[in-house]
Amino acid sequence: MSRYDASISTAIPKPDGMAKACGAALYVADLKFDDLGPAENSSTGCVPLGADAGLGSDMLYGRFYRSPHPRGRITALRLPDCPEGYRIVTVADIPEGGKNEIPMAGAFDLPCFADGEVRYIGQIVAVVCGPNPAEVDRLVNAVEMEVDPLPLCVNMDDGLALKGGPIHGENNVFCRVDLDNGDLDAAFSAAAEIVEGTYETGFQEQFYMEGQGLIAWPEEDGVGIRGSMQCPYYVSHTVHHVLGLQADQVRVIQDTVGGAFGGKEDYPEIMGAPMAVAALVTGRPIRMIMDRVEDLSFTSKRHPSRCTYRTALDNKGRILGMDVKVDLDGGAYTTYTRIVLMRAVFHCLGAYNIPTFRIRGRGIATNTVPSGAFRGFGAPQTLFGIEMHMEELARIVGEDSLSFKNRHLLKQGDPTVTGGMFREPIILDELVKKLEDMSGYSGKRAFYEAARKQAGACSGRPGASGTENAAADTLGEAGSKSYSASSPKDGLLRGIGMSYLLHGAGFTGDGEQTIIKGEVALEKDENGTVEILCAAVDLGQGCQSTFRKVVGKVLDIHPKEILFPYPDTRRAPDSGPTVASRTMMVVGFLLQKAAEDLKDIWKDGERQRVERKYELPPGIQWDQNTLSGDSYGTYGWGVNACEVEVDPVTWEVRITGAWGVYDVGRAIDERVVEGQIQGGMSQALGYGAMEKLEVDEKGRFRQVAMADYMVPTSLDFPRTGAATVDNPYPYGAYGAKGMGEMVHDAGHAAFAAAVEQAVGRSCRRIPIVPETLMELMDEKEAGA
Amino acid sequence: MSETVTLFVNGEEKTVRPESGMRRLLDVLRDDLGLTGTKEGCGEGECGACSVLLNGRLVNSCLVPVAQASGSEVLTLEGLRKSEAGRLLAECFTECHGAQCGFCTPGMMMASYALLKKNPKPSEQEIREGLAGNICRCTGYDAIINAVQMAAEKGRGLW
Amino acid sequence: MVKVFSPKTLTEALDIREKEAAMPFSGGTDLMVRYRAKNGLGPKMPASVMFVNALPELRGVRLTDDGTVEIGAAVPMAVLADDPGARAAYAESGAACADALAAVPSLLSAAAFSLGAPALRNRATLGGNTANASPAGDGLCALYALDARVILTSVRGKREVLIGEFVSGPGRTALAADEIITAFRVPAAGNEMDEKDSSWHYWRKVGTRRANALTKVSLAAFARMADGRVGSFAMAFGAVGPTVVRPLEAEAVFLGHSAGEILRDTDGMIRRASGVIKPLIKPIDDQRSTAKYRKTVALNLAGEAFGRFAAYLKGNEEC
Repeated sequence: MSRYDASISTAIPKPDGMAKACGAALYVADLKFDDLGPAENSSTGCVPLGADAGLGSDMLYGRFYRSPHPRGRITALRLPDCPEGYRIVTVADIPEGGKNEIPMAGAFDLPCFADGEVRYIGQIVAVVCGPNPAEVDRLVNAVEMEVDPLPLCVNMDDGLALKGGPIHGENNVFCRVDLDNGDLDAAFSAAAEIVEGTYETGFQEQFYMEGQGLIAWPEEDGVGIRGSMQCPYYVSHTVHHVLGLQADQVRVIQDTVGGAFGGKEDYPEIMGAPMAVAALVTGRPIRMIMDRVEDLSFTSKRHPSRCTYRTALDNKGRILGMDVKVDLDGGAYTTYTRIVLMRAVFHCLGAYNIPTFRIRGRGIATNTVPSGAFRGFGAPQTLFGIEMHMEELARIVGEDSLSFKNRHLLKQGDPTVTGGMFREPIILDELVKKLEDMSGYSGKRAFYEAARKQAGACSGRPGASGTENAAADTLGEAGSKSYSASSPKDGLLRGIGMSYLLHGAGFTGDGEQTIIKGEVALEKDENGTVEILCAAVDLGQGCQSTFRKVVGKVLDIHPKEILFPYPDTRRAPDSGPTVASRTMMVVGFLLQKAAEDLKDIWKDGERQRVERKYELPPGIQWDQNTLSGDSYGTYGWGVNACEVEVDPVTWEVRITGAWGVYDVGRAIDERVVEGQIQGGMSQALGYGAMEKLEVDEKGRFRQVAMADYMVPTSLDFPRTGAATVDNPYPYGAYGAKGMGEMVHDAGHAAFAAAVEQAVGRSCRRIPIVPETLMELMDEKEAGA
Repeated sequence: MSETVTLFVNGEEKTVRPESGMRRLLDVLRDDLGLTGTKEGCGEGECGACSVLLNGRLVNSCLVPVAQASGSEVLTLEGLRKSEAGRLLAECFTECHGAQCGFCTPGMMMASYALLKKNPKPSEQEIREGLAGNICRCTGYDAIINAVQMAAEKGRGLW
Repeated sequence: MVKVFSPKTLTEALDIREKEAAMPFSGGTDLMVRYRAKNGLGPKMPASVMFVNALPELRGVRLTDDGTVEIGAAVPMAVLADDPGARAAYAESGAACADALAAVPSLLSAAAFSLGAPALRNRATLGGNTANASPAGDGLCALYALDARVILTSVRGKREVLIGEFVSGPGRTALAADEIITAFRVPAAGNEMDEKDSSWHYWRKVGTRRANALTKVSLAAFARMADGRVGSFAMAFGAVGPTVVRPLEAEAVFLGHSAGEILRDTDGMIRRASGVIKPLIKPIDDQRSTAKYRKTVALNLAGEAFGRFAAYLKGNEEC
């Protein structure tokens, strides 16, 4: 065994890196039907394959038959005759004792198979399976379904107008989250000025590179599921609920996951439950791999949002109170909307101390694909709202937005929006200082502002000649650095913007202590080889590295010598789902504690096992009924900046700089954290600038091919300047706090603020694609 | 038709008998020859996960009918990884964390190799252009560019 | 099941084309996407298929005596785009000589470089791009601005058709059931050092992103000076109508004038030309962009192109 005495933050090569770079890592689509277990994959930590783990030469291909109708009562479902060996599985095949419902975060309205009604195009109606994919394809196309159609709701306005009658409950509101503090009416009565703005964000597709894929197979006393997923135990819970089995009768194995970003949090349950029914009915293993069009068309997306902020300002430009409305488009069934809405509302005041507020949040039903989990989980939506609103307030107050924001920042000891307390130090000032050093933010901001104002004064229209001279004239002290040369005579409009963010780390509310109660285990064999057993999984984000490092650091064993197989629920305890930025902080901390326990009892030459269960850090209190107290154990913090140039010929925006500085507690692996910051920034900028996803008049997505949904390529964005500042959290692994999501929380707001500066208009809706920017510039009213 | 097609895959002669000559090279590699290092990300030539070298040129194997590749040399990641250049490239991807989820990585490896073979000292812009057909959703490309730069530096004379 | 043919020579191919009406299939970058089926099933082709991209007769690039360059229909876009190493490798393979490759007009190279990404450009061809006849085709748009002639071959013989006459609508062409597109004839890149006979081009593609993108609107423009006057001037707008749009009357505003004449009345000429262009731009709304955006930006691109052309003429004057 080699010693491990490097700093926990020092990067190591990824333990799964060589297998992935050599194409040896096996994803669910790579498993051979008659595979009996190549040793090759053991290096990636994948469970050895075998007939007992779902693979056999008798495996069938599965495909969903999905509703072609958006909304209505099902009046007829005609199934074609199946040849020998083929089967079409519907709601009628759910075994006795089972239930046709997918339980999800306390909601039960989404059925496993459509029964009686459909609420969106693409809703799962049947599983068609058989040995030949071409014949399965023929059968899928031969199914016929008719409905008594109803008018449908394709957006939140339709939903609120109850078009066609309510889809859900009596009012199409899945859930509400309301928070109040102080006397808002008094604040508004005392206001010197009242400012209102509405901010909107669109759908966003996770766009994991590996599409959804699972294998379901019958086991002697139950059923097994394996494949691409974030949360093996979520799949297990749902499948045993649908099939009416005991928890230990459902076995779930995670294979290498080709990206997830939240997209494999809910969908593997939605997909796995009907497949499990089919596996039981046919008695055969069934594999389903979605192609890109099906995946884009029908899997969960980020909730579109509309937030209205109304703010009372006093005569010194201080915020007296805010009246906030947060609406999320939940799609056709509740699924995660309630908990996404909670996170959205709890983040809607951003990193600011707003003394008095009234917040009204709603999740609204429409006839579109149920919205689901995506990195950030509601926070990127409302952080866009608050950041753009703060930009707008600063303009009205006549102050630079950074200075205006700084006057309102949260400090240690301040109350949270739910009446809890920010207990740990808040080091946003250090983060901003670092950001300034890296980006030259304030100097550029002043320079571009002067340039734009001069240009506007010369021509009345941005982009006209004169920009550059004006810029040179006003360069002064602020612009005397190297970027004075960055404004050549090219007619481009330039701007830089910034955003603050905070992100509640771990589950919202009491999820950790009352619902998840995560567990981990460590096993040591006679040779001293230590194995990590937990169900928090590597999706690409790097816990194959970081978990090994934490355990290795405690035990003084090199990380590469520690085993960490992908979980099989037969062996790995339920450490909770791989979501909510909880993996390193919560599960990593449990592993650290377990390793400390193992160290204490370590005996050479013996097999030993230690277990650890989640304990609530001291002082944390939460009341789920009143939504009051500490909605999160702690928070990650960050500041982003983005620099742009806008071409007034085409209204294309080129991003010329992007920076992200974060308080992640402590980086367990600098390069892993850097990779998260850069990848998160790319997704956030995609969200802000490119990733248009619209629905048509039938509630279908219009961008359902890779050629149509625009994710960033290597030529779209520059490098992201990434940095962290240490601020260790005592209840996270070696001080780590959640960070995987916040890197996607506010890059789009910094981008929009940069565009606002460049064009001198308010940008209240993302994505800002050239078409919307052109229309914005055509509007009569100018924002600035 | 059920004619045979002969390919020279990673230096070995392989004869397959596809149901149709239009069967995608991607499916032949993955399903018939068991070379699952080549991934399917979109099936429409937009993501690059299925990149292989066909007679030395980078192509999307999802867009190549196998009969059209008859008699051609095909290099997949399984072949590349056996070479010194492939090994070095994989080490650089690992060291630089160029692979997160790893699903785009096989295509990235092939595109990086194709680039370095033609341009052993690429600028950052040339690397970005060389990888422009390969989508990565995890890294924002920074770490991948670092990996290619490191490979160019360490692998002088290898390409 | 559809038949699949892999002819070795053009003669063989023409014979198959006549007898089997097989669809010519070049790089497949359009056809494999258009006819793709569910994963694992392979494409569902509507007709028999004949691979043409290996035919030596379609892979050449050669200079002719009349100052044009003849580009084989199956020359990969990577070669036209001058991707790193592509031309050298192509010349080395013996398909075309380096001199001829250097004569590929820079407008065509620029348009080819903006298409897709390296792997696509290694497969995509000008012949396929033209047969696809999409008004958003980048190669096609450049061919319009170059007044390219399409060389069509069948067992009956050869004919040449002007590109604008060859394409009749979206996805529709004058290709006869027994014909194959074998080559394109375009003006050879001239001697750029001689300002009296130099050429100028403008290419701008507004895509959905910066690489691997489909075109929302594009403009190709090409001019050639002859004895100090504008000998030819052509503009071609992509994705603003059912086919690529050539504003002939706008082009005529500049034709035959000397640089001095144009520079004396630049604003007036641009105004006249723009006025002609405006009603010709009739784009549509789709998921990729809006009609309004396409129209506005097409006119902005024209403005930018005129400005660049004037700057070019000014540069020539000052030389």
